[in-house]
Amino acid sequence: MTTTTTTTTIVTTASMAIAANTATARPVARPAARALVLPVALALGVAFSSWSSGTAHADGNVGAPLAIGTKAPSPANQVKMKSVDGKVLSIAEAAGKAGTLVVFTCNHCPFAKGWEQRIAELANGYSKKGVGVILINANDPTKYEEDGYLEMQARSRKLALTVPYVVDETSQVARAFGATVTPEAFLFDKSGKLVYHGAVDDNHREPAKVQKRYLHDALDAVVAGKDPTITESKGIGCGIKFRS
Amino acid sequence: MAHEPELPRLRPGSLPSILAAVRNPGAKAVLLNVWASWCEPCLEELPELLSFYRDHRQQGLRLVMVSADDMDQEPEARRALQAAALSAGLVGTATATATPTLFDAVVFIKDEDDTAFVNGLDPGWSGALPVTFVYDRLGERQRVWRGPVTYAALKEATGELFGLTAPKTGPDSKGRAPRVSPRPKPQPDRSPPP
Repeated sequence: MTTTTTTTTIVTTASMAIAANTATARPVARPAARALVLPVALALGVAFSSWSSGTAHADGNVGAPLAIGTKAPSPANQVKMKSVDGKVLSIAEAAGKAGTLVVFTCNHCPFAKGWEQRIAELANGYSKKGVGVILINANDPTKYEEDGYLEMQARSRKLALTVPYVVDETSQVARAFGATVTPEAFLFDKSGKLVYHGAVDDNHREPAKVQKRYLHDALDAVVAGKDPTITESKGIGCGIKFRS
Repeated sequence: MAHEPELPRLRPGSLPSILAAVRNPGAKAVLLNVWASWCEPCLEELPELLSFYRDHRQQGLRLVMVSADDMDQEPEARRALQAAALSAGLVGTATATATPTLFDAVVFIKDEDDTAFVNGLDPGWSGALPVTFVYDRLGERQRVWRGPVTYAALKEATGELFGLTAPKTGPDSKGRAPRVSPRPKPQPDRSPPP
């Protein structure tokens, strides 16, 4: 197993809307356990595919996703990530006054491609309404070349993105969020509390056949200062190709 | 003249019909694999999955496969599955005098809302493909594999269910009794007939 050199920088910015997670924001044991188990697993070369007992989120490498009502995990929310314009920024720095949308996505996945135009429209549209938006590619481009930085730049131009599309260089941000699929959205309200997690909508291929506009409706609620009616959804998609 | 037999059309599968296929009595172990024709890792694992099924179906292994393709992608899904089944020796070549071996895995194409489907199989599953679940003879979910599964991994996970390794019937290392999960209530099958 090769060793990946971490070039990620961590900054501390106390006054961000997406505040540092505290022991009260998430269960105490899990982040602590994750912080210990994951580096050890990586150092020992533990494969990321393994049998889990009973449920898919019990494999010890990528835990359950952030729970509704919790805040963005720290220090993952302060990890500096390079965007398609060459600038670096963290989730905390991308936060908006009305709320913050974090979407883990990529370039190669057919589901991500199917939803990319709608993600771009939501991202560009709601960023004008005060929602901070950051799109994150946590995939290892050695597994799919299409997930590389140059293609991210091309995709950003093609979609006319006005929001940052950044590289999670070690996949550590995705792991900290418990994100495992692309695309996967996490929407925080203006207080930094997670109020929606899941899919964009219920039809990745045909926008005209969408019946449940999960993310759109959740964004509307956040902008209006309300809690979304539907707080969680699931969508079939590609697994995140974590960097080892 | 020899020709390759064609698999029948994949039948639409609602969550109840898929779970009914898993829980139908008679198998020692059941593999439920969710895949799609557009999913490269899914196609990569098919030879391993189908080879394992070929080698263990006579021992009581049932394979239930659910394609997450859309209905209009059914021909692509069927072609991909047929090619893999042929390579694994699960579909023979028909001749004028010989009948091809039928691919007897239970195969569906998903006809269900994603959220209901994913949570109905495992609330801890994000929906990322491929995924493989192992069920025991009672239809209880025992193990989950995220990502492409291998022959060796399948052997490890099912050995106990086939009685090839010692069953965990006693208390665990912490002295706890083995957990027995209640069986979910059967749901009505609302899928169309095959």
